[in-house]
Amino acid sequence: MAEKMKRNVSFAKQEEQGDGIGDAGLPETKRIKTFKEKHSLDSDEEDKVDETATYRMNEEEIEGAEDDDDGTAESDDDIKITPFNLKQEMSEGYFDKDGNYHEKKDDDVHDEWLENIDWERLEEENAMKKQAEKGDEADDEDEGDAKVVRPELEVMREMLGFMKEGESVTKAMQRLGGGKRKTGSAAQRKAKKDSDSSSEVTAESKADMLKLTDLVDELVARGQFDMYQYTYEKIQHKLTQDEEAQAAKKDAEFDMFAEDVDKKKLTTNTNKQDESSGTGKDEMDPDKVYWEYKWENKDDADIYGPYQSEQMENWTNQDYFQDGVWVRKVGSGQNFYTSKRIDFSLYV
Amino acid sequence: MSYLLPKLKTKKDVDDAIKQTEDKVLVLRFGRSDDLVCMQLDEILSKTSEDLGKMADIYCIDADSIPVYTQYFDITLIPATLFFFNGQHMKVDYGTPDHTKFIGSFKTKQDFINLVEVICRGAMRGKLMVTSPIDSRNVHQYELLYQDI
Repeated sequence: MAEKMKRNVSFAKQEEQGDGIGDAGLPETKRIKTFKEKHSLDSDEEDKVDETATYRMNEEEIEGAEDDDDGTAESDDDIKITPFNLKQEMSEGYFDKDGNYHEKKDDDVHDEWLENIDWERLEEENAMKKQAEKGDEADDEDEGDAKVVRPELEVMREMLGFMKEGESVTKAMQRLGGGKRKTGSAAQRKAKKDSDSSSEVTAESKADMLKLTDLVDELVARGQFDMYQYTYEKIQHKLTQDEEAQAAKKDAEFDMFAEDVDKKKLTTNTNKQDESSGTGKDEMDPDKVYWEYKWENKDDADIYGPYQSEQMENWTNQDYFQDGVWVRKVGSGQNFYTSKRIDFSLYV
Repeated sequence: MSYLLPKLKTKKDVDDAIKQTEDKVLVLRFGRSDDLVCMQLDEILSKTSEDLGKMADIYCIDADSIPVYTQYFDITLIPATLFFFNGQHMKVDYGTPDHTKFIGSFKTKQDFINLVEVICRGAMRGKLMVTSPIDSRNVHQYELLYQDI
């Protein structure tokens, strides 16, 4: 029994060799590996002697074990066996006194996917992204809406061609797509009759609809998720707003220090506030809303803050303010409101 | 105080106001100018209307003069304040049974200003319903009676 256990050490061998076959051929030094026997049910006192000794085995102890057969296959009858290469194993880790093998942990974690990353390229891309963002900001500074990039407005302008006044994008698509299918068999039969005459029209409008869908998709992909709800008027309004902003920008470029520019700047600033899309990074950005809060609605309660809306929103989401706290906007001097009724995400 | 606020007298006036107010909160106050609570509300509205000029347009409507809209918006209690944004009726959770309108007067000007700001911000984000920041203790509580239920 004991000899069978010894073979537990070499993983490949164990299954192929039945009880006692070729046992005698094993080199004497393999006995040293008895620490492995701990895993077997049959381990007994005999093994325990080794156990303490093999706590973190030295390499000399196993020197002879695999010296001659460094990883090469040794044949046992007709079966080729890849022996347990203890030397290699020991170089990569050690065994503790319980016979468990511990791999040496590399300092740097090896993740396959990490190696596949082309870091240089990633950096380049990041740099490009940053540049693009900077460009956008500079472009849109006066428009107030950072999302609106020039081509986007052109896409909108193109969309207007497919829409009718008073229509939302969804409605326009429905109209071009031939309207909603009527349910009910009578309506269907009627529709079948009509379909012959209207098929030419639908073919044309279908192409229009596909174009419109493409345009909307393009905008949605850029983050304009509510594009489908946009009405003809809203798009038009956006376009005119942009034109005005462009004009204002031009004026500002002409004479920066003139008084009327200041006025325009003021209005654009308030626009910014309305659309709450300030993107600065300074402490206390004037375009952002800051909050202070206290735990009790008492005059002498400690006031904490100021904090940004994002921070307040996170805290609320994490149930940090489970019972509600009393909040107010910094600088407003108004009284405190319970945070339960305030949707901080509106101020982000 | 209602004489300081623009009035809408006919259905067409209301229609035009709803349709033509762009990117601003439209505040419609249904009430009677001789009603005490209404006068209180009107004072708050008129005093804040200038500050809110960039964010909101405020109009007074005599609840009796345009029965079509009084019925359409189901004005049973006055004063009732309704909010619109780009032709869209904005619902607000005041903590009362009716989310479509605010009943009664606001306690302070700041309450009203904050409410308009929340509505404006919510609407800008495409929300159709927002939560009013006003403490429920400062909101007139009432119950709705439903006919035939």
